[in-house]
Amino acid sequence: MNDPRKAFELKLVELARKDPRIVAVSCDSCAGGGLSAFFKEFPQRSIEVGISEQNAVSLCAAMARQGLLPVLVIINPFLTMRAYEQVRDDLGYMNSKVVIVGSGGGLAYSTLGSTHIAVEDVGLMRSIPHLTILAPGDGDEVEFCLEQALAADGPVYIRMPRQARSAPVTGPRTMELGKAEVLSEGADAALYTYGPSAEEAMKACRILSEQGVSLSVLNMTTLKPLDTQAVLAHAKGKKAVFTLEEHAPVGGLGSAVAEVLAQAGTGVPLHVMAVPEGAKNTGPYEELLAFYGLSGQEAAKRIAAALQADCQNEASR
Amino acid sequence: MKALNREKLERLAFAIRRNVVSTIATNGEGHVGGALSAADAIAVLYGAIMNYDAQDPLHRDKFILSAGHKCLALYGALAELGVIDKAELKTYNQLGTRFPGHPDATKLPCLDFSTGSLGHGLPLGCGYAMAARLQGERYRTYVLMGDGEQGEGSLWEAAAFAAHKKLDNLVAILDENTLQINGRTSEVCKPTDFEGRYAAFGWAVRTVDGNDVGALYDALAAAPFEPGKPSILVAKTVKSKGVSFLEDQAKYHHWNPGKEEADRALAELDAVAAERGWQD
Repeated sequence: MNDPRKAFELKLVELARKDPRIVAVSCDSCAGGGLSAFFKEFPQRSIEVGISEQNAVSLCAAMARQGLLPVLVIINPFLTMRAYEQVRDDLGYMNSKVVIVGSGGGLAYSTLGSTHIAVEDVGLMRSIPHLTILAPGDGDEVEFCLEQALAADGPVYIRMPRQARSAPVTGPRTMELGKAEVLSEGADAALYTYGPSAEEAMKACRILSEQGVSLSVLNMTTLKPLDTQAVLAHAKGKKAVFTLEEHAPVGGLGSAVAEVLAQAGTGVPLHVMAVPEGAKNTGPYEELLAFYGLSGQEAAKRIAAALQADCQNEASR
Repeated sequence: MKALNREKLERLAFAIRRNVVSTIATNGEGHVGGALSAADAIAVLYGAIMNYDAQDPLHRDKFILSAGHKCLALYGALAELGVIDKAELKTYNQLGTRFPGHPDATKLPCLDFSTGSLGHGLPLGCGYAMAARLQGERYRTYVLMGDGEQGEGSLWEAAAFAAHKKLDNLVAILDENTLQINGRTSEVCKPTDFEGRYAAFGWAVRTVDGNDVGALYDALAAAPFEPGKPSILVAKTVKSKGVSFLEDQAKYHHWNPGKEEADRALAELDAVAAERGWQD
């Protein structure tokens, strides 16, 4: 299924039929967050909190202590930023088994303005103790992430996409919690990505392949704990590595990969393709991606240019 | 719930105060003012009102110390109940202690939740109250807040939620000692009285002398004050109640006594113990 919200909605109901502990909590986000079917089928297990995100996070933490399994859906920045301290204290430090879902990660609300853009969330959530971070891109990944999130130990943050996307690859997927999904194997460079950017990464991969540049593309759907082994294995022997994400340059996958590469002493050049810090442009989603150089086509250009520049730098040394 | 035994509750409240003061006197700084103002409410809750079983976290009544800095009173009560070893309070402020300056339920399973950042307790209380409703549990949830804490917006999110959901298994106690770090709460930020605010939000409100164990017992035993409404007891208290030279002064919100002050406070409590016949 391509529509991530619909996939989430149906999967949650399917899982809730088997697990009576599951409680859905909405911050006026029932319809927009994909909880309508759950609220209709399980009214006794549905809690509308209203527009009060801090209350909602703490409320879920206490319910989890009593053995319930809350799934809380909130528009992304109002969850990950407004209620940040509640996530840290009441979920992270308490290791509370709550699934928090930030609707519309990245540039998903591309026309709504900077208040609704979530490009700092991964950086913020990465520093929360015990928190697993999952960032699906298409409907299949959403279903996978929701099922894994409910089964995992401790709190889980799902960075939900909004736009209906095609799967980044055709054919069967090899998704595994905590493991990178290798979408392509190539010799020249490695490209790490996650969420809807995975589809763009594969577009870039195909464009570059026609130009004789072969890329490894890794889909890091589990952002924390990051599959560091895969990051290092695919960086080995490459001319350069790249990250592509709908996130600010600070704190996202680019930062995470930099930490892994630097600590391992790889010395391989890293190019972070991210939403520029403080960027506030708005517009249709696909156009905005291209504007920030995050579409497949723009990413391909940037990768080709960077490889060429790295090559020239190497020669001039 | 146990029957009222005023003498026993007064003695428990006194013992809590003695633990608060002696812990700070022995181990250095702590939030003395709020711990002493809330000692009577905590004594009444743990000594008579709550169905508390340290070994049964799922089914016992819940207590959330939203004003987590008052935790020395909570530690003091748990020590008197024998839930924790009083001798272990001597580790307070020391490396690796299970008794930090704000309570940590991951270190003390006898607590229901970690607190410290103000404004979390009422939302947590709503969570426990909702869970009881969903799971058919009969426990009550008690949340103790401070009056300075009423500035936190998250608390008013929860106040609206609790009333909207008719959570009459939720009981809040507002320890109104009228002081916060920067002075009188009425001067820092208190546009209207708390009773009126909570009533406007749809709560059932009562006011009581919060340093009178009998009055506290009578009020808490009557909760819920109205069926279908969350209850709040506004407990009018004196900050640092029980140690005369610390009372009703903002500067004793947090106390780092020298030997002279510590000895003086302990001597005053010893005199009360002698007068009431409460020596150990």
